Amino acid sequence: MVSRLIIALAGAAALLGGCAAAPRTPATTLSQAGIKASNAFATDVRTLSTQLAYVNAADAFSTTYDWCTNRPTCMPRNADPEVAAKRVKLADTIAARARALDALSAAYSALGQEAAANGSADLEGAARRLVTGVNGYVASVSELTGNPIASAISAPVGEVVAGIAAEIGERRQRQRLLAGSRAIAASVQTLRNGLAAEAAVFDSLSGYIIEHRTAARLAMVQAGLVSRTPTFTAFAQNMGVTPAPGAEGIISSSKPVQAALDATMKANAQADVIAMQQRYRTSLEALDALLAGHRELEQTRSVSLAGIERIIARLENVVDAANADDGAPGGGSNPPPPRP
Amino acid sequence: MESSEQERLALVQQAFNAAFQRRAADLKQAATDEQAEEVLRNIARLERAYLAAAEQALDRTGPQIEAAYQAARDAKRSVDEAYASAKSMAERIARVGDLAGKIGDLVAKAGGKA
Repeated sequence: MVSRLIIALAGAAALLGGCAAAPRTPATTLSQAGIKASNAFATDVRTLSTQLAYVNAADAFSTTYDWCTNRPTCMPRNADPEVAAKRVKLADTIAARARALDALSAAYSALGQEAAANGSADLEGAARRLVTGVNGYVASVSELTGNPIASAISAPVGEVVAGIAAEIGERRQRQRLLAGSRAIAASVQTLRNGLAAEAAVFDSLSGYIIEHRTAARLAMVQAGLVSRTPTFTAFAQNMGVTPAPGAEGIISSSKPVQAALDATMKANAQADVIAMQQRYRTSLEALDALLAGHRELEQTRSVSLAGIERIIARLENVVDAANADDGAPGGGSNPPPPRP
Repeated sequence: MESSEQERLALVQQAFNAAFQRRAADLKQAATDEQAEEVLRNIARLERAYLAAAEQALDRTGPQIEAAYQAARDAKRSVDEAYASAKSMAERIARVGDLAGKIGDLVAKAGGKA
C-alpha cells in the first residue's frame, strides 16, 4: 500500500516536473539581484541600529555639556534609565531585521550556487536559516508594535526538503531551483510585511535619532572639540564657490559665521532624515521587485530584471550618498553630493 | 474632525522635540538646581511618552481619545504661549509638566495601554 503510494507520488512529480530545462540563467540573475538588495538594506539597517543604541551616549554627552555650561555645578548626567532601556530595545529590533536580511542574502547566494553547480549548494540549509532569521525578526516587530504581522514560516522549508530528495539530474535541479525560489519568496513576503509595518515607526525614529546626534555634534562643535570647517567646505562646494584664503581663521573668530554654520549643520541633519526615510521606501520597493521576479520565474521560468535592476540601482545610489556623507546616515555635517 | 494616528504621533514628537531644543536655554534660566532638575525630568517624561508612541500604533479611536488629543494640543499651545510671552521659569516648568501628563495620557489611551 505504502509502496504504491510512493510510486504514484513519484509519477505525479515526474509529470509536474516535465522535461523542461532547469531555469539556471534566470535563477542566477534573480540570485544576484537578491544579494545586492539584501546586502544594501542590511548595511543600512545595521548602521541605524548602532546609531539608535548610541543615542544613549550622545544624550549623556549633550545633556552633561548643556548642564555644565549653564549651571554653576558640573556633574555627569546619564540618560533616564527607562528612556535608555527603550532605546536599546528598539535597537535590538532593528538588529534582528539586519540578521534576517543577512539570512536572505545567504539564501540568494545558495540559489545562485545551485544554479551554477547542480546539487552542490546547501539550498535547504540556507532556506532554513532564512526562515529562522525572518521569523525572529517578525516576532520582534510584532512585539514592538503590539500588532501581529504574519504567522511564522515553516511550510516552504518542508516543501524544499521533501520535494528534492527524489529528484534526479536536470529535473532535480529544476525542482530544487523552483522550490528554493518559492521558499525564498515566502520569506521575502513575510520580511516585507514586517518592514512595511515598521515603516511609520522608522520614519518617526529617524528624526528622533538625528535630533539627538545633532545635539551631540553641536555640543562638540561649540566646545571647540570638532571643527566647523568640514561643514563649511561641503557647503561652499555645493554652492559652487571657492573658499577664500584664511576662511578657517574667520570661522574660528566670527560668531555670526559660527551661528550660520551651526544652522547649516541643523539643515543638513533634516536632509539626513529625509534621506533615511527615502532609503527605507526604496528598500521596500526592492523587495517588491524581487517578489515580482520570483512570481515571474515560477510562471514563465524566466525573469526580466529591468525593474529589479532599476530599483536596486536607486537603492545603491541612496546608500552610496549616505556613505559619502560621513560614513553613516544621520551625520548631519555634510550635505549629499549634488545629483545630476 | 477626528485626529489621525499620524497626527497624534506628530503631536507627541513635536512636544518632545520642542522641550529638547529648549533644554540648554531652560537650564541657563533656571533659578535653582532643583528647577533645572525639573526641566530634565519633564524632558525625560516627554521622551518616554514619545518612545512609547513610537513602539505602539496610536490607532485607537473614540471620544476619550479625541478628548485626550485635544487636551494635549491645548497644553502644547499653553506651553508655546508661555515661552512666547516669557512667563516665569516656574510657570513654564509647570506648563511643560502639565503637557507631559497630557501627552502621556494620550499615548496610553490611543495606544491601548489605558
